[in-house]
Amino acid sequence: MDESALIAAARQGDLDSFNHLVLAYQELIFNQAYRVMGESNAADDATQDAFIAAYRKLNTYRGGSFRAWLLRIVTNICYDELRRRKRHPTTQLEPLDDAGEEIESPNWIADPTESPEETTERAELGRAIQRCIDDLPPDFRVVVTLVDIQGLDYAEVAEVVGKPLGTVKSRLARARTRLRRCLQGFRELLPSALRLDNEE
Amino acid sequence: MKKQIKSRDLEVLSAYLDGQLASREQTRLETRLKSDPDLQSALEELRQTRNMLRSLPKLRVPRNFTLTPEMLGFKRDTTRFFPVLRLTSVLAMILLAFVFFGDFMLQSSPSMMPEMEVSNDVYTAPQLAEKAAEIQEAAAPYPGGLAFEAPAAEALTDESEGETRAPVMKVPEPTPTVMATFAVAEMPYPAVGEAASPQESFVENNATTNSLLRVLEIGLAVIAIGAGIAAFVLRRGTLG
Repeated sequence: MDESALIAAARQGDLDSFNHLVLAYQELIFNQAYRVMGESNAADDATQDAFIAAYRKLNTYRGGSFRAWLLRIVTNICYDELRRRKRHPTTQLEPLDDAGEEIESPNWIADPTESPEETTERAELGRAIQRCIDDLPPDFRVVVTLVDIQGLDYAEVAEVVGKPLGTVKSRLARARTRLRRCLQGFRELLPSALRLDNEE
Repeated sequence: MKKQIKSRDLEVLSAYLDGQLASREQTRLETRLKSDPDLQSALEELRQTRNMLRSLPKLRVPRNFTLTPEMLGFKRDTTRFFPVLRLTSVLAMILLAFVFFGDFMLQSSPSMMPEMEVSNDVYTAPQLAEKAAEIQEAAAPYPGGLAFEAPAAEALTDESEGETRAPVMKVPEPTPTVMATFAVAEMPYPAVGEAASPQESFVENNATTNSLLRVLEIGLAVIAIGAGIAAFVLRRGTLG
């Protein structure tokens, strides 16, 4: 069954058809939720809530990019959770290592060509980049992850965030600039080709 | 010392990196890039940042996020009943319409047999034959069926006045025989033995059919409304 047939069947109450869509998009939605929320547990909750909300609101889907429609739902759920956390700050429950640093253990998709050392370095770089993403304001965070991590084009991102194209361009440029400055603090982790040596 | 790049230029560089500039603006930027090393450097930094983000690995999902009926707040497998309930409601309404139509046609068609007064007298076959003979005897002298004596026409003249009055025909009172003739003639179909009359049977059948139709109509209406409401509630529960 193709996507439009699955959506039509799901609209009639066919849960099995909707679950086929879930399986097709869950990796995309979970990764986006993880990049915006910065942690696995929150991403897990946001992803599940997003699919439940999507099933309930299927009658509001008016065609166009189903991917963008789903991403919009998970983005709004993440925004709501971030606002709630800002009103009611909570202590992080991630485990700490011997140095008192939080241990995050995301389940990266393994690259079979990498050595274990390379895998570890990649994981550390990933954590560093994620830390810099976490420092961005939510609006910038969403746009830069949608464009540079999820690979959406500007028009689709505008559809997801519900803002004009000019706003998307502006937020993206500023997010990239801030990330560049933040990543200078992790120079030793950056591959040599990516080290920004011309910064004074 | 590198000069500070304006935020507007950074925005143009970022869009240029993604091929999102209009052709005129792109041409203008490329001209500037040729002569501005700081602008070139800023473009390169943006490119490296973007490449770093693109190099981030995709995360594997920790579990499947498929939905169950319990997550959606309704009992297991109830979603499957929605199409059945909807179809049941529609079929019941169609059948109800047919039954209404049939009932209407039945009520509006004329009676097959005329209404007649049913005699309370019960006659056996020999008694009927006797009655028929009496009728024939009584009617024999009266071709027209009416007994009367033609009185002698008397010319009643009033000699004193010289006028002649027309003769007056006296019609005698009907004889008892004549009365019996009329009574028999007006006698309705007698009931024979204990068998029910055709019209009694017809009325009874009609009443039974009507009752059946009423029961059918009520039953179909209940099914149509009940199934429709159940489907609506199920749908509301599904979609929230």
